[in-house]
Parts: sequence; structure tokens; C-alpha cells
Amino acid sequence: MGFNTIWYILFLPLVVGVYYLINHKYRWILLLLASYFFYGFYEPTFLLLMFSITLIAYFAGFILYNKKSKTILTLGVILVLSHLLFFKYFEWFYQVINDLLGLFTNSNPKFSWSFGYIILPIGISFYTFQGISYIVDVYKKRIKRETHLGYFALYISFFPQLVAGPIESPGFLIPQLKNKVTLRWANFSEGSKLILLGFFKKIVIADNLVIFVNNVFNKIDSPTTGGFEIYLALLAFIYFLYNDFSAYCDIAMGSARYFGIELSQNFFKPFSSINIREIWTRWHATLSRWVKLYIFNPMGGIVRNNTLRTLFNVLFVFIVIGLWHGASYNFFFFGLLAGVYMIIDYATKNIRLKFFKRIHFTKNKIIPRFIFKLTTVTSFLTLGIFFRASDFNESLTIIKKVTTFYGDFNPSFELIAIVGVTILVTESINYFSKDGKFHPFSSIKNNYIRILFYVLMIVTILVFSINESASFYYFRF
Amino acid sequence: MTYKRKIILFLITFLLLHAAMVSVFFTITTKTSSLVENQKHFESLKEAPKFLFTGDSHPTRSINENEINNSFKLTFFGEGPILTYYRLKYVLEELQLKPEYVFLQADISRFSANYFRYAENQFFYNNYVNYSELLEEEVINNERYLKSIAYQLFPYIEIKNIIKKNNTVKTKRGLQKFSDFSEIQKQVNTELFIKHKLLSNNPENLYYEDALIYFRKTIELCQSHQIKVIGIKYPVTDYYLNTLKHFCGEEMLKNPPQDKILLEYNIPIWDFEKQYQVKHDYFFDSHHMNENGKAAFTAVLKNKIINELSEK
Repeated sequence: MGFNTIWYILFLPLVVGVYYLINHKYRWILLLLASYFFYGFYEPTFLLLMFSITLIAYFAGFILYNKKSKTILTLGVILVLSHLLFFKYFEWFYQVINDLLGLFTNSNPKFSWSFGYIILPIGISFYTFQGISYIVDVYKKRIKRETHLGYFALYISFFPQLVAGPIESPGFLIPQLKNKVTLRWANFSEGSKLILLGFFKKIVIADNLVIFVNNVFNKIDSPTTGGFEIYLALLAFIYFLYNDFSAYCDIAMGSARYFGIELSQNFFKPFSSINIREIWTRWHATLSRWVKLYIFNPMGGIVRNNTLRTLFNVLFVFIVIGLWHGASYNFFFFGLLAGVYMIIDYATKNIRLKFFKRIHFTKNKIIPRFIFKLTTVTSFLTLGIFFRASDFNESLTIIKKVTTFYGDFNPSFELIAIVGVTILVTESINYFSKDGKFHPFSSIKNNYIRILFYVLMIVTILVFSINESASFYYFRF
Repeated sequence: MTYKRKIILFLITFLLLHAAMVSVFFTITTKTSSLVENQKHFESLKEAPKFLFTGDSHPTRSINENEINNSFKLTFFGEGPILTYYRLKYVLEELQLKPEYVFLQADISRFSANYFRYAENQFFYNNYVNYSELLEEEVINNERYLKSIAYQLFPYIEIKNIIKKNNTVKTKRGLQKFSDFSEIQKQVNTELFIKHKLLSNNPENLYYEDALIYFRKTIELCQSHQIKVIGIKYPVTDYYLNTLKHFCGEEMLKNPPQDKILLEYNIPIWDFEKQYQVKHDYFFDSHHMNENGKAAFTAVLKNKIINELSEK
């Protein structure tokens, strides 16, 4: 069930209502049933998959807690990961093997065996990672094993963050699920504000922006589609992606807050980053954190006096991030390029600092800061090419057209206005979200004006809800 | 401020703004919607017209009813067979206005799925359509049913579309000529409409079963009121027909199901589909007639009515 459906608007208050009516000791049952219902609403058979991951991770944790065994750890991780590998990457591996064989034999061989079309179960990338977190954390003794299968199943399936994160660590989420929560105004109020903001970002900004983005990308091959138009569409796409995904996260955090649970923030004003390293701590932060904790650090992370090893580690981790988003050459190159940017950033850090210091170009000054931000966003845009293009050839077409940007400079006022207003609204929301809040409402100090603002936002959302709201983009991952 | 006071203040503010939006919405629609105007005009008639045309933008764009005596065009852009059924039912059963002849549009793309999926002007059609009945007959799902309730509670959800649509209706290329398009423009324009808008990239969407069921129900409704029905196919260009043929396959276009239904009820079909297929200067796009086309077609239709239905 998508957050932006009429079903969720009915489902959430119902679950919240019953949650506070029943005794604390039965609440996990309600949340578990609600979560399974929520997930089964997409496709009931996916429940088996989620349950299988739950059981494997639970029993792996059970064994590992009593006996620290690398074999069990490896086996547990492989078994959990195999679900993801099969459903998400099997077809791609098949294609890669065929392509490689074609490369060497100069023909177009196809295996006679095939599993047919494999449907990607929604949210699998997210709950698989949570399962792995649990196994590794128990093995590393970061947490105690969870004895209660019900709470553990709820950790894997908790509906607000089930299909697109944030990816939570068990040590953070499970204790919160067990907390005895009383009905508090603060939870209700903060939750509602985040949900309101999420719906605004999704329905008013993202759903409208995607129409413009798709219009351009659907006719990318057309000679009438110029480089500047594509550049604007790329910029719009990055802002669409941010609004769409952060909207989902806001609604997830807001919904969880109704149950007294605070989920991790995934976005920290990413376009304020002044270098590419920083953007990865601000954009989809829970994925970056997960990858760092469970892949990069175990690989050795940044290895002093071994540049080659560090290079490999960084590239490998970013390729994993790329491929986590999807099984295709495009995502491979997205990850590779992101890794290369990180390496360049890391390698030139000292030289840049020295140079900027010499010319008095410090990040505290407005103009240098603006230039740093612009460079970072532009680098991020180039990653967006591989993220948005439907295949590698389309990526090349986009690059070719964007690099001839000035050759067909034909700005349309409408396009510039759409992108300009989007950036203005998005950055205003970000600017006014301060003092530790992830929404801008607390910046309005007057109660009456704030309430009027909420109402205006609701009416705006209603007026914009006429468009068929598209699924959240990150659901496909 | 206590939270109770905040909630009360929020509710009052919301209700006030809601009431204001509803008032603004109905003021705008009453004054500017040509659909509302069309219905009002019809309801103001003292007696039923002899000839009633129903359908979507094709008859709306092709007929000048002022030139045909004793006729009325109860049509609107995007009005699919299901909406036509309920609107006609209201006319016949609630208003008790019974024309002698009803012209049912039987065009090739009249029964495509998208027309109902993108139902517009819900504020208007909600007065006539029985969504509970549609839900019971599984024409719509629960989500669509809940949405119809949401549209009744918050009609201004549509305000953006109504303003946009009114604007389109007013300014829509009445004098533009399809013949002025380059060959590529003609092809791209037609393909975009047929593939993306009309059929959502699926040729199977050409015939929407529920639309055909309601087409049949409309015939039965008319016949139960002793009204004579005539199936009519409005002119389109060769680009439109060829693109449909190419996309859906020739088999799908042979013996269209609506023709079979009309034959089953012994209803005559007035087929003008190919009459002007190469007269591109009569169209403003691949399937909508412009003002010149409308004048020419109305004259032909008028003659046919005079000759075959003895209306002087």
C-alpha cells in the first residue's frame, strides 16, 4: 500500500487508534499484523519472502549469540543476501554473461534456460539490509540477540519504513518497538507535521515535476530536444528525486512518530553540501551509513600507506551503492563515477585546501561557498544522467547533447520557471527547517499564522491531488 | 496555547477555508464551464428536441446544431459511454425530456479504456453517475469509489483541471488546419495521442469491455423509452486510421464490437469515418474537425437527416 493512496489515509488512523486502545503487551501483534497487511497489499506472495528473511536472520542471530562462528555468519549473510541476488540481479547477471560471451565469440548466444520474467519484490533491498545488519551486529556483539520472534519480525517489517527505508539498525529500532508508549501531543503533532510536509513534497512538487522531466526524457532522441532543455530536465530530475524520496521519508518518520518511534533522518539538506564527500553524508544517509559500517569498514576502509587498497575499497563500495539501486550497466557506471569523484575529492583535498587558502577562498565566505555548492551539485547532476537514463545508449545521448549545451541554447521561459520555482520552494523548506527540526513549521512563531499555514498546505495538496499520484521512485529499488 | 485550542482553531480555519474554496469553485464552474452551460441550456428547453446528439469531443467539434432544426448536442470533451449513459438516463427519467432520435457515437476509439480512467468534471458527472452501482457491477474498484466520495467532499480538487480545461475548450485551435502540419508533425501528433494518451501503450485498450456494456445499456435505455437510436461515426483523418491500424493491427479494427452491437439491435449506422480522411484542411488535429470541417460536415449531416428522417 503506497503512502500516497487513499487506502493509507484510512489505514494509518485506524492502526494508530487501535494501537492506543489496546494493552501495551499486545501492541506488537497489532503492528506486526498491520505491517504484514501493508506489505501483502502489494502482493501477498511477497510475504513469504519477507518471512523467510526474518526466520533466517533470527535463527542465525540465535546461533551466533551462543557461538561466535564465522561460518554461521557467512552462511546467514549469504542466505539472506541470496533473496536479493536472485530477485534483483539474476536477470542482469544472465544478460552480462550473454554480453560477455557475445564479446568473445562475436555472436549473440543466449542460454536455453530461463526463469522467465522475475518480478522484483518491493522493498526487498531495504529489509534484506536490515536482516544483514542484525546478523552482523549480533556476531560483533554490538547488540544482544532478540529472543522475541515477534519483535524481531516487526523490526524487519515495520510498515512505515518497510518499502523504502530508512534502513535502521536493530540496536536503534528494536528497543523503540518495545517501549511502552503513551498518547502524547508532541508525538501526534510532530508526526502530523512531517506527514503534511511529506504529502506536500510528493503531491505538489514531485508529482508535477516528474511530468516535465518525463516529457523531456521521453523525446531525448528527437532533434528538437536541445542540450539546455536536457540540462534543465536533469536539474529538475535531481530535485524531483530529492522531493520524492524525502517526502517518503517524511511520511515514514511522521507515521512512526504516531507510535512513539523516531526513525533516522535520511536527508540533511543535501544541496547545501560543499563537496562530494559531504553530499553522501546528507543524501540517503542511512544507506551510506550502512555501507560504511557493513562493507567499507570490514574491508579495511581507508588503509594508510596503501593507496591502491584504499582506491579499490572506495570504488568497490560505490559500485555496490550503484548496483544496490538497480541491476543495470547504468547503475554500475553511476556507482563507478561516484567512486571516482570520491577518489578525486580525497586525493586533491590537501592541494585544494592550500590553494584556496592562498587565494583567501574560504568556505565561510558567500561567493566561495556558492561556487563550492555549485560544483558539488553539478558533479551530482552528472551522476543523475546514469540514474535517470533508461539504458547506457541513452546516457551517451544525454552526455552528447548536454556537452553541446551552448550550441542549441534555446531557453524556454516555462521550463526555467518550473525549475526555478521548484528550487526556490525546496530550498525554502530546507532553509526554514532548523533548530533540530526536519520541517519548517517551527520557524513560524505565531500560532495563528502557523495554523493558517497548515490549512493552506492541506488545501494546496487537495488541489494538486487531481493528478494521478505516481508511486514513490525509490519503491523500484 | 493548549493543544485542544489548537485543534479547535485548526478545524475552524479548515472549515472556513473549505467553505470558501467550495464557493469559489462552484462560482467558477457555474460561470465558466461550458459543460454546465450545455446542461443548463438543455434543461431550460420547454420540450425535448427531436434529434439528440451524444458523445465526446468528436461530435462536439463536428456538429453545429444551430444549423440542424430541432436538434441538441448533449456532448462534451472526454465524455465516454459510461458517462453518456448516466447523463442520458437523467435526461430521460428525471427530466422526462424524450427526443425522437438519439445519435449514439460509435467511433472506432470511442470505447478506449483511458476515457473513463481519466474521468474529468467529476463535480458535474457525480450528480448523475451512480458509483455504488458501478462498484457493484465491478466497473470500478473500491479505490475509485472512495475517490468519488472524496470528489464530492472536496470538489475543488478539480479546480486546476477545470480552469485548464475551460481554457482549452475556449482556445482550442478552432481555426487551425491539420494540413498546415509537416508530415513529421502529423505523424508525431497522431502517434502521441493514440499510443500514449488514448491507449496507454497497450493496443488491447482500444475496446474497454465495460464501455461496450454501457453502450449496450444506453441502447436498451433508449429503446425502453421508445426512442429511435442511430449509430454515428464521425470523420477522422487517414493518419488517425492508419496509426490505429498500425498500432492495434488490422484484425482489431475489422468488425468492431460496437458495430456488432448496433446490428444486433437493428440500429442503422451512419458512417462518416472516412468521408473526409484526406481533407486535412477540415481538421485541426488528426481526429477533431476545425470550424471549416464542422460547417461542411454539418451540411452533409443535415441533408442526410432531411432525406432519411424527413426533418425539414
